[in-house]
Amino acid sequence: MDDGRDQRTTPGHVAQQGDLFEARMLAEAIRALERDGAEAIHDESAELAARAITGDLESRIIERAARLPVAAQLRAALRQINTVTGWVIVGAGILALFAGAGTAFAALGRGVGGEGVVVNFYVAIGAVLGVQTLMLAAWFVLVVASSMRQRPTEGLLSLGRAAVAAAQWLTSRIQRGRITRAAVHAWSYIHATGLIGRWTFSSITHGLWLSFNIGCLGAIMLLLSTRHYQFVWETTILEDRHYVRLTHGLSYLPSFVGFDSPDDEQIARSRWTGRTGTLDDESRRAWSSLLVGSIVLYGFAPRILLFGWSLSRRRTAANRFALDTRLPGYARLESRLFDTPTRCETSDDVGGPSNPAAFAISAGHPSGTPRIRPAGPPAMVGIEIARPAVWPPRTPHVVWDDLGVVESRDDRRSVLAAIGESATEPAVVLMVCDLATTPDRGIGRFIAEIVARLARPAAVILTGGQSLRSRGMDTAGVASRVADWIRLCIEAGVAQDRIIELDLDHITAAGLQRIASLAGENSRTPEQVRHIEEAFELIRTHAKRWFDQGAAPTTDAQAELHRAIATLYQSSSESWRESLGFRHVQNLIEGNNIGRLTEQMRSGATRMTELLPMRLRKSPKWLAAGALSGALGCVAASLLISPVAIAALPAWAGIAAAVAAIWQPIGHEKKAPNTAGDNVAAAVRAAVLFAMVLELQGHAEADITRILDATIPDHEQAIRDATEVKNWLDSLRHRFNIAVAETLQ
Amino acid sequence: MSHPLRIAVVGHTNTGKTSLMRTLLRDTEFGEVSDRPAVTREVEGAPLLAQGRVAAELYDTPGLEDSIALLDHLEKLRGDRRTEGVDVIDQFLKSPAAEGHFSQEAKALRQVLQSDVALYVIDARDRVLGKHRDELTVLAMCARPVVPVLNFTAPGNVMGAGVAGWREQLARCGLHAVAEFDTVVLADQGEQRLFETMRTLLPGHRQAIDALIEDRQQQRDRLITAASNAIADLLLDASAYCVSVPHGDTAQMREATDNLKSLVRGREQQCVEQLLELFRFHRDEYTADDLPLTDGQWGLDLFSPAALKQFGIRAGGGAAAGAVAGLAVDAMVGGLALGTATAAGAAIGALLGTGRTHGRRLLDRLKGRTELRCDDATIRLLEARQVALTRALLRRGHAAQQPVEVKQDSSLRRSRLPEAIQQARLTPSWSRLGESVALSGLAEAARERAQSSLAETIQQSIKQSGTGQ
Repeated sequence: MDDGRDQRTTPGHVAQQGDLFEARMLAEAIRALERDGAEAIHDESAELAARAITGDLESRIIERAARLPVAAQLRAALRQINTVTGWVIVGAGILALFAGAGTAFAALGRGVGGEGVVVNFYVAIGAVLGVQTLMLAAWFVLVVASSMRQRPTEGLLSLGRAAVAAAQWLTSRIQRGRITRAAVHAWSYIHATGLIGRWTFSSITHGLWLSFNIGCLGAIMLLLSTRHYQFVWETTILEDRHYVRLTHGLSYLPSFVGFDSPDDEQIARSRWTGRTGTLDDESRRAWSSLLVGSIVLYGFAPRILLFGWSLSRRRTAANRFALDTRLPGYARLESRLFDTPTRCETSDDVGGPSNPAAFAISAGHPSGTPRIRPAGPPAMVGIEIARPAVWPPRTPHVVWDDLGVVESRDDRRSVLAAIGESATEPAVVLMVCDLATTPDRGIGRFIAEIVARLARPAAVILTGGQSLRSRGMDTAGVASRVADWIRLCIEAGVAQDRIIELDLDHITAAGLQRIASLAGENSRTPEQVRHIEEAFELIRTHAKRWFDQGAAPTTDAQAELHRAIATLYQSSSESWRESLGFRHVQNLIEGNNIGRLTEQMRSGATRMTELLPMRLRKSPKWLAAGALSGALGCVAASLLISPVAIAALPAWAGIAAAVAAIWQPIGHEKKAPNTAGDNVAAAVRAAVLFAMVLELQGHAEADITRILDATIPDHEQAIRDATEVKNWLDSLRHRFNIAVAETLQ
Repeated sequence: MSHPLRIAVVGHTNTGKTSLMRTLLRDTEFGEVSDRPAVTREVEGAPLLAQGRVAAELYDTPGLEDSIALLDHLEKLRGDRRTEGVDVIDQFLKSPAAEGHFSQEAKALRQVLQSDVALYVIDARDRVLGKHRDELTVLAMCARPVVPVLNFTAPGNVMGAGVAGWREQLARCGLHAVAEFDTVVLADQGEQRLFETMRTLLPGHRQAIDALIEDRQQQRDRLITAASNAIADLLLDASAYCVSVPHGDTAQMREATDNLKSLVRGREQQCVEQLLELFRFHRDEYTADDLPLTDGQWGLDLFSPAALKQFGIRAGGGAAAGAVAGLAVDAMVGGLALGTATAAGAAIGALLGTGRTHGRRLLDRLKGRTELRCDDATIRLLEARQVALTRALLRRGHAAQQPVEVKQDSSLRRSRLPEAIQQARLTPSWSRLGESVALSGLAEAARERAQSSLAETIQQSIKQSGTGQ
């Protein structure tokens, strides 16, 4: 931590302080450390410092790396790698020096001879230069090849690579731990993937061979000065002239620099004939000069040139080395390291109330309490709603004065005039608002202006809950939208008990009754009779029978169950048939009108699935249950009216079609349930849904959806036998009762 | 240019002004987004950066709510005089009404006057109403270019007036340069088209807008590259990982299997978090329930046959039975593996790096031990899920509040695993799962190469589906 604080006080940023390459290496080590530890490091102060500088992502990454508390340790580890590598290279250099000297001794021979030692010149040259020339060629080929392939991985077998590998091995032996590991990792990653690796390894390789050559030259000079050698050549099959030409070729470069070389006559005389002492001093000197010159020019010179070149290329590569910011370890930092000032100054300092709640009512009517007028017929006005199919709704015993649907400024003016300026005042003004619209102050003010013109109370119907839900809004969202509307209406002066949520697009008899009651017409609500327990009992016995039979329930059997459930609610069948959209099923069966029946079933299936909350609509099981129970419900409804034997019903194909119509647009994989158990479970789900919807008939759509949402849990227990069905039904009924109590109070 | 391009975002209440801000700014924390009226009550601004420099300033404004009364009021202020609209607005802003009932509208209009252009956000699901027309009339009085932006246009939304209806209405108000930009479900190049539309109206700010367009394009490319790299890394880790257990020891085998499963799951989760961070979605913004990773498809057991099936991947051959549970016992002999690797043209580096491991594997084999590893179907599933997530994140606006949903895509059924994965299969040291050791430079380079070639393949599949729709 102290480290971090010290760093932070350092002025300027890291990029300028030290070696940029080292800074990048450090960043690479941090990346290795973060990846290794599986946990990204988050350090506020380092990120702050990185955000403070100007520069691209890379320089910010470098800055961050340098400011992390762990940087000091990593730097030390990287330094250690460099030190160890350095020592390994020095060691290898000394070895190479001795190896060079050893080669020289081996090539020239050590025997003590009074007459001098006879040395085959070409064997000696081959021993000293042969291997290293081959290695040079190999290096060259690899460098050229890898440059062409754009893959900096050459020198796999080079001395340099071996030395570095030894150094890394040594480092990880000297000190273990994740810091060292990350440092070694970064070091080898950079050298393995970047151009810098090529030139580092190259320079080490050339450096070592240079040292070899120096050792070799030193030893040769020593031997030549202290010993007496006779340089000869031998051959079995070649002619003399070949050796003359070869020697001239070899001496071509050395003679340029000033090294002596034997002339034709000297060469010819040097052929080994089995006798010693035939050569004069001059030719001996010429041969030794050629030997030294060849080593200098063919061994030492290329290595020193390449060594220097590699070093300079290495420096260039180090300067050019850049972090690959597309790597995930870096790219993820982008959002942290760029200072996005999330706020701009706004010149909007003028305060003003942030919530102008009270609706300023514009002039146009006398202020104070509205004048008392005789009551006229009740009036209905739609405010920015999509006109429902039946407008105004046909309520029993009440005829509404239709003020139309208000959409624009002129509409509003004319409605206000109609309400405020006629001789009679409507017995009640019923304003219909669309839940799909966001409640805004403009609407609130309009409602307030209407209320201000009335001495009698006004009422509000909130319609369009269904279309709101089909926008994909969840139950909580719908509830909060309803609450916002109610708040707006209350603020505008409508009494809370006169604001009801009712979908005019799916209006039922019970719903019409409620609208009529707002107009003061017999405000009794129809007494609900509970049948849910009986319905669940029916489902349980059917399921038990299906399990006992061990076969999948047939469609007939399922329709039979739906009819039995529907019979329980026969007294109010008018209402639920309407709410499910089965108004016209009467004649379909008698008339054998299969096409229409299929259509009805499809709409029943759609309607039933629309009642499901979004969550369940996403579940394939419940979506299927909704579609199935909607289609079967349609059959049940028609059977109630014209009782025929179910088996005689012609339209079973329609059920599959109706269910499929729901399935396919949603794109779920259509798959048949596998086992009889699955089939029973599916049938039970459909029947349960049907029973609950019938039980809830007459309530607001949103309430039904809300109760279904609260009743059906996310994770259902398995339904594999009759006992499990019973348990499931029991828990469901319990949840249903609680949900009903909570929602409907 | 004396000041950066100033853009005011205006519109009726709850049409998604703050959502537009969030998506353009890539900032899920800007302002407050809710499906309720009047959530934003003050003007708030934020800079749009291109290459680290401020190219434009965006200002979020409170929603216009009572434009009908406001227009009444403005007309009254204007009276019979032939005053310019902008003067009437000025007069209004100085009047007490601007601090009373119309304070929200006043704040928005004041910001429009201080901006170079106004983006008028429309919820395309709404019907065109009188209040919208009046809003446009009031905005027209401000004498600033107005670019209508149709929000919530993604397919699947239930439309009121719809895009065509709105375009027609806007054309009647003289607004022909209209942008469609869904702030939740991003369309390809939707953002670019929005900027281009603005550019046609603002020739003076061409440079800044071009810089923005270019910056966003580069950013997208960078994101895709980084995501593919992250996925490739995951796949290499998972496919290379390998443990050896004594042959026939059921208890140990089960333990090792469970351990392997949890390692792979943890690694996948890590990749998911990397992706979320890359795309600037924060995990903590979602409650645990909202996190798709623990719910629905993501919650499906990675190793269950059902999960494999869902992505259209058949568990290989006769071993598909659920009992195998996505794990295959790989009884590969070390020597054979070596041969295959050579045949597959594995680089010398890989061979050198793995020579030791092959030796150990051969030894293990002789000692009667078996190797456990993820099977091919699991690797494919991992890839499919991460690619699908990346694709979903690419299309996800920063205003989206629903959890990420990922759809299955049949295009991911590939008969043969990419070469890099086959190579990883033979190189257990590549995996960073469990107790891993630092790779040598050579092995590291080989892994890196495999990762980048794999990333390229993945990038292809991300891009394919990105533009294919």
